[in-house]
Amino acid sequence: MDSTPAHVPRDPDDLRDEDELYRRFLPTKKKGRVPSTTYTTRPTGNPDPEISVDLARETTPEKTLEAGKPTHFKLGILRVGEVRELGFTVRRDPKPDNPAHCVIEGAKTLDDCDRLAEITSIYIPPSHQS
Amino acid sequence: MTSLKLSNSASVVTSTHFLIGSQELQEALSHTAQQQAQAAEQAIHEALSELEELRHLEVDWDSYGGNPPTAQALIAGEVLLKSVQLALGRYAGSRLAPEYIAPRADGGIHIEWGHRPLKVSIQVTASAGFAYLVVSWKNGIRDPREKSDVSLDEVIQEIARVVLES
Repeated sequence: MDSTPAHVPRDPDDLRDEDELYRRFLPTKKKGRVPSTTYTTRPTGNPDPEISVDLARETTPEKTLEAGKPTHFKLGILRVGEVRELGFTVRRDPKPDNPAHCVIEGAKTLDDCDRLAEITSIYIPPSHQS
Repeated sequence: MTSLKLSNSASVVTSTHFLIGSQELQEALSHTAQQQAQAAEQAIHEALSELEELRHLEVDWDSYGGNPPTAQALIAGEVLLKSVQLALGRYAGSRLAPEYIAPRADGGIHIEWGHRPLKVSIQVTASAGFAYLVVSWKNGIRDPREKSDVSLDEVIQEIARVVLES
């Protein structure tokens, strides 16, 4: 966990390629896949121009999951470097109740959402790891 | 002349064999088509059940403000699945089973078939419109192709390419 107080603006460059980002998603029934719809927005269903994520080193999987109402969410993990390699940007967007909040910008096409889904891994709680 | 007669006889024998073979082949093909159709029916039945479960999603189902699937999207999704079964069932069999079905934040539905090296994602919008994304990895390079406002027929053609090539 970062010790920098909340609401303190930070240089976006402090987001390192090896940093991880958390995003809640509703897993698919059959194969537990990360659907590309995870990165679309209402009301249009178009790619989300500002995809909400949490910076892993400043939160915990539990905190990110708790922010979602239903309990059946899973947690997707994205690596900042991989997101950048796809041509997207990641910047901080701290909220009063969530200083770890960041956004991924640049998704414009269905394929952009699909590529983000492809690089999203699923968090497995330590209690479920064999 | 003798050689011609022999040749004709051989031809008759061959034709008879061919006819018998053809009948057996037809029966075999018919049996296979029936099995494929049954497998497709099962696959689509399961997909329809999965679709039905989306009906119970509520507002903010994704915790990012997503809308639940609209009635139009659910009906269009059902029409799509049943049309796919009708058009491709006897050829594709269990390959008609979608990779996954997922809700979209706008109240639409996403249904995906196939995986590497070829997949198609069908988008059913909240107002029951169709769009698709086809991704091919042939030759090791990711090659996406997407189109919106397409007809049901065009969508089925894209699905056919994926399930019949896999």
